[in-house]
Amino acid sequence: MLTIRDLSKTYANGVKALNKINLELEPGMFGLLGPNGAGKSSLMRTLATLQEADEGTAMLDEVDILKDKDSLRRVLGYLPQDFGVYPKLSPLTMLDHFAMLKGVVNKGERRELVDALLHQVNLYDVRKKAIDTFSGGMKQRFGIAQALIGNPRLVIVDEPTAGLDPSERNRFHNLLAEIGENIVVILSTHIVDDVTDLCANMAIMGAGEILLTGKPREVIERIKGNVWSKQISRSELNDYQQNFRVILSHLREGHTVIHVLSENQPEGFDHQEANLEDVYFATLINHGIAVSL
Amino acid sequence: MMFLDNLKFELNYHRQQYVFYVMAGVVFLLFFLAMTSPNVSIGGGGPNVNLNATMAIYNTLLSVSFLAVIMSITFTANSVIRDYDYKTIEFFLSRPLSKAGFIYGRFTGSFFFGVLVYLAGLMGILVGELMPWLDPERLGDFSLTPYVYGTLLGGLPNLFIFSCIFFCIASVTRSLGYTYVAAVALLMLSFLLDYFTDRETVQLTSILDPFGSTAVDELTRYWTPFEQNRDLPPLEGTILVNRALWLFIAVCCLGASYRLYPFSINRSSKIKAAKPAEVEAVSSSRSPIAKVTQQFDFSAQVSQFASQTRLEIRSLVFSVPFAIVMVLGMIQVVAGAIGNLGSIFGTPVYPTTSNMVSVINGVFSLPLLVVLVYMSGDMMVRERATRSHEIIDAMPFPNWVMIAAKWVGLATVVVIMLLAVMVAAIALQLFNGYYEIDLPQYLLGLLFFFQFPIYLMVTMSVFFYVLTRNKYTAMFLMIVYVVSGLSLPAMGFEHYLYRMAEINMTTSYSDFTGYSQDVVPHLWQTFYWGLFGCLMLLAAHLLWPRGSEDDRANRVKVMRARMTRPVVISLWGFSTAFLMVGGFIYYNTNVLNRYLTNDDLETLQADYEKAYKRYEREPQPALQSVYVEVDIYPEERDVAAKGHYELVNRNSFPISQIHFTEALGVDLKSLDLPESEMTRDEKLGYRIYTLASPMLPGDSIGVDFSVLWTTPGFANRGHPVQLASNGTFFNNTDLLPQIGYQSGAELQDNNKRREQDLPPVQRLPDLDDPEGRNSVGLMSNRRVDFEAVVSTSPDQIAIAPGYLQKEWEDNGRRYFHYKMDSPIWNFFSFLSGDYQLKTDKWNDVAIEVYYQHDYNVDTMIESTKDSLDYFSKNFSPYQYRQFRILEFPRFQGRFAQSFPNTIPFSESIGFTADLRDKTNIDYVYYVTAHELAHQWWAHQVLGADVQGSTMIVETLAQYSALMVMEQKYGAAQMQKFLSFELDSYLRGRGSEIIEELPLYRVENQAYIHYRKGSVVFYALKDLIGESAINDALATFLEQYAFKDAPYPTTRELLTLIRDRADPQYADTITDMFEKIVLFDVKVNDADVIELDDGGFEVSFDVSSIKFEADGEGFETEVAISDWVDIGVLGEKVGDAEVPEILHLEKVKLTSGASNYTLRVDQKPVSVGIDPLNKLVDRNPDDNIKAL
Repeated sequence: MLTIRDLSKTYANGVKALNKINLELEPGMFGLLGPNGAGKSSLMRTLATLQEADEGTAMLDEVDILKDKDSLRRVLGYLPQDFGVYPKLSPLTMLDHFAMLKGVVNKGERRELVDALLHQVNLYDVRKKAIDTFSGGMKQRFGIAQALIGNPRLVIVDEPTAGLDPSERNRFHNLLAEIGENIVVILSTHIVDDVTDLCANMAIMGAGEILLTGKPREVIERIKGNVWSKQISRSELNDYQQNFRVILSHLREGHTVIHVLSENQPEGFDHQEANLEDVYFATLINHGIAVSL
Repeated sequence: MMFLDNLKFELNYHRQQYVFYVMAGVVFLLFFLAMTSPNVSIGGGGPNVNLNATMAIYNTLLSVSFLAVIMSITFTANSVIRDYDYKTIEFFLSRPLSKAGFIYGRFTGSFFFGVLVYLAGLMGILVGELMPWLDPERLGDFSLTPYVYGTLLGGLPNLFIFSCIFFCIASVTRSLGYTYVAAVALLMLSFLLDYFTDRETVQLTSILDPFGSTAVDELTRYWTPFEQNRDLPPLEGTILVNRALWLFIAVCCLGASYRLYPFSINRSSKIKAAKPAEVEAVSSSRSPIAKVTQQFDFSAQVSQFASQTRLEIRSLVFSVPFAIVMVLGMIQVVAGAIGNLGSIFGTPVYPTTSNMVSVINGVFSLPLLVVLVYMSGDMMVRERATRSHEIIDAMPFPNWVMIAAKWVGLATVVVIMLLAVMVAAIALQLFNGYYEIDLPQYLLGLLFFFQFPIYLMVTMSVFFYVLTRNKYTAMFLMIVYVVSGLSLPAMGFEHYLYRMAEINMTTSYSDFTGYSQDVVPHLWQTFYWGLFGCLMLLAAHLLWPRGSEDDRANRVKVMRARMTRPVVISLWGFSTAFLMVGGFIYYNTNVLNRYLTNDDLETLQADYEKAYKRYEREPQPALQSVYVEVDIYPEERDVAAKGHYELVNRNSFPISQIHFTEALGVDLKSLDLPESEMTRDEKLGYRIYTLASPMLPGDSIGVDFSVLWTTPGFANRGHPVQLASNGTFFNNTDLLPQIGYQSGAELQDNNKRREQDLPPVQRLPDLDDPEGRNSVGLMSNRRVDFEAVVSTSPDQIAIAPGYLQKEWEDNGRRYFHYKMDSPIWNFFSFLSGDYQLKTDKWNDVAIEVYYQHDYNVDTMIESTKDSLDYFSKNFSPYQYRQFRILEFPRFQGRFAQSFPNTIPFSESIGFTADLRDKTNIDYVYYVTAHELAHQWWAHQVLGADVQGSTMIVETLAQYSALMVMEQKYGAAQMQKFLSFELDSYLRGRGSEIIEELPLYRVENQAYIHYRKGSVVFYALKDLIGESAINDALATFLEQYAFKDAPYPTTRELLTLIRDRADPQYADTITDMFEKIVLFDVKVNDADVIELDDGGFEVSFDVSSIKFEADGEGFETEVAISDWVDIGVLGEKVGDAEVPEILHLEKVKLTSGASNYTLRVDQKPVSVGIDPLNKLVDRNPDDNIKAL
């Protein structure tokens, strides 16, 4: 279990990235939603021992993440949002090296592990090609593979599906679901569907704070029946924003459709089946976080 | 305007980079210091050349441009590469930019900043020149001309040329690595070209040298201080061709960068989403990953380290740039060896392993440093540059794994490069037919005793990066470190407690001692700085950037967290050890030994002169006999001696005070004069004994003394090289007290004398000083009886002048008793070594050679026999029954020296010369003959201690050796030899420290008494005949040999020569000896017609100028009326491969142009005026013209 208590962080430039974060994460997939600048990456990096916190604690079971970084690193799998690799080296070489860095010292065991990983992320056929020539998806799969090395008890993946095509994304989800059964997996994303599809638990972050936590279905339940939609013309958007709590707008067949939050059905609006996206935007707007529509 | 926008962008970009300000600042400071600090010199000339001499400024500006070239990589190349590095190229490519505007805007902007850095250096010089504390004696009038001219001809074109080349390479490769490779290649090309100093190739290298400095050096090589102060190289000839060629290449490169710069992001090497996507559905979600065992103990960390190290090495070594640099390094070493090993009269020395190690240390240090600095920068930022740091930093390994892996990776690169050049060196040895390859010495000399403390620099480059977090700043700090390491000692900071430069062990190597000579201080220093390195690495651990956040507050926080118990304990441990070792070194260098910088030594010399010069002419008793017992302890490098001087008052008046000067650094334990009182200046080592009753004329007095010359612990500048575990060699002035004031200890450089408030030096009394006639300047003005008992270790032989009376062993020591049967000058040597011995005989004279290397022992013996033959037949009989040559270690010097019947001869000059190629000059033969000639010209007759005395000693020895050499090798070889001598003389004029004097007034100026002396005497022989000169010399000996004062001067010698010369040569003899006369004769046009009878008619035009120069080098043209050779030359013949002389005759030459027609029977190849270079010709290359 990952327990985060009052975790705060202010950067040297004065930006308050984390503001008294409190979370309790059971084994399983945990989705972390939030717009850019919400503090997701700061939280992830702090949990991945890549940066210091000003106050608060973070414990993975008995491991004090902030104080005993090395112990955490031994059970951590981390896939950063944006990463590169040493030029000219193959996934085989790099995974072998990473396995070594993760303490898999036994050569036979390491080889088996690396082979299994390569198969699992389907890079076995290109295991001897240089990674820096890979496409985005292939590189991302390599990133997953390295995060799975060892026996991670905490896996952190930051925006993992960005740049993946649908089939790759699907495949990736399967992988995550598989490992997410017994360990804590934190998936940071701004793609709401990822969370819906995968996560047993979730939180929404904004402006350095946790705005909402819960199970996806449960949080959707909370606003069920309060979401209404209407097709409008783009120029009317401002007016509607003045008069309604517009939580999102999207295009449907080239027309602007807005969702509003209301206990009663506003005039001219249709009932809208609530989904996580509605929850997400509603939460942000409820907390006064600007969302561009 | 697209171009202007890009230019503006570029300018703004650099302006914001603080690197630019740092660079400009440092460059300014560097050249300001070079100008204003008397001890730091970058492009300046000899001491007679003004600080702001036109040529000094010109050359310094070339150095600025050299530095600016290094800068232009960061500016110019970076301007192209940066967008790829920072992944911003898409941004630029997506804008509506024109390609030309983009490229040339970038180029111009970054070039402009390179120019600004150059101008910062220029301003440093210019401002420096105006500083009020500069010695006004060394400043000429201020002039902007050299700055403008040097910038337009040297600095700016260089900067432009290199900017274009680097820009082109960067555009094509988009890799800073390749651009650096190009820079290294160009630097190496420039160094390489320097090795080809042959007259024939230097024309070509002048054109090819990308910096354009070879052409300038070539053109100004004979410039006197006067010309260096006033003139600038004209833009003509090779300089013009060179500048034009390289500017052309530069413009081509610039054009090419436009054509070759791919203005797009299509990188052909991308695998386009390959195939894996298709198969995914099948194999997916199989094989749930097995649990693995993880281990995090120390042995696991070692495995992690090994794995990381493998990757580091792979990334550094398996790259094309590295391979290129390695091959270039090997070429550099081979060329360097070929160039350096043939430096004495063009004859090579054997490529012994020690020579090869020296060469590698000499030529490879700089390229290795450049590679090290570049690679370290690249390596240290790799994780961040590739953005793999977030993955890696979150892995469970301790910091030391990464730091150690980087360190080892970099060190491995260094080792691989050194091993590669070692392989090249060994290949060269084998190619030369030299098979005594000493692998341990290679490995020690390159991997452990390398010139730069190379592993420490590896440590430092890691540390600097961690400290600055910026690879360019770190690189720059490395450069600052290297430069400061080189310049600190020049500024008087010499202690290696703060100067991270070690004793250069490759110069203290000798086959006599191996590396043992200075190894103890070297090991202590290595230990000391090694501990410092450990501290730096600990600091690197504390500051190691790990994670994604890196501001100052965070750094402090992280550092605190990393201050774990083991770290704190190590910090304490290493600091304590560092301080303790430092303390121990200090105890050795400053307590056990006296710590003296060069400045301190100069001050001591000056103080001695100031305090005691007044006693220079104080009448003193003359030394009558010397008896010494010298105990040499080679292993301890100590000498203890006691002895007895017998003094006689030869004056016509009583003497009541006797003065002694102690040998510097030697403890004069006792010096007892009966019934006297003594005052002693402990600091300057001067003693005055006042006798209770004065010495009356003719009285004699005995003096007993004992001295101790020890080498406790180790000293900062090392112990005296004379003392060695094998190959001890010192002379009496090193050890024994001398009578009276010793003018030999005075500072000779007038600039240094001015700093010490001393009047200009008087090297020697005037030729006609009557007092001088009574003195010979060898610590005593009369010959003395000499007897010595020398003892040493049982496995060594000890030698002093004289004949061996007895040899015995006692108490584990070996004793030798030497005694000379006739008086000798008070100048004698002591040697001890584990020698091999070869003996021979010439008539009744025993010839003995004591040696380590047997290559040329037979040549020496042959030369000895030939010389004894010639000299005794033509001059006078040889005065001794024995002649000994003794090899001494190369770190004691590169010379041979003639003591009575004893000639110490350096390992590095005759003993390892490679004489297998018969076309080369046999300088072993020559040096042997020269030293043997000193048994006549020094030991039989010595000139009075006035101007011209070294002409009697050195020039006559040169002449004697030339005659023996000519007899063996023929006139053709002489021409080759004399062309070296003429070249050395003309070059020597440029670095004269006071003033050039005519030969007959020479004041111990080597370029005159050896070099000009050879040329003049050979020409004289040609003019008046060998027998006339020999007759004059024999008569000279007859009149003065073994006689007491008054001693002869060059006037007496010249009179004897003139008496035997045809009066028509009187003026020429005056020109040769009493004036400084130079010619410039050349063939302008030449034609050959084949005659009907099979003969050939050659006609040619010559033009001739004759100058007379003053001591400063100011030349005035004078009328010619001289006998000069004209001749016709044929094909090259004989061993020496010199052209056959088909016709040679003397003509009376007059000023201006003349025309000659000659007839020869064989096919002529070339014609010439003074074709054998007998004249002192400022431009000897154009005397011959091919037909």
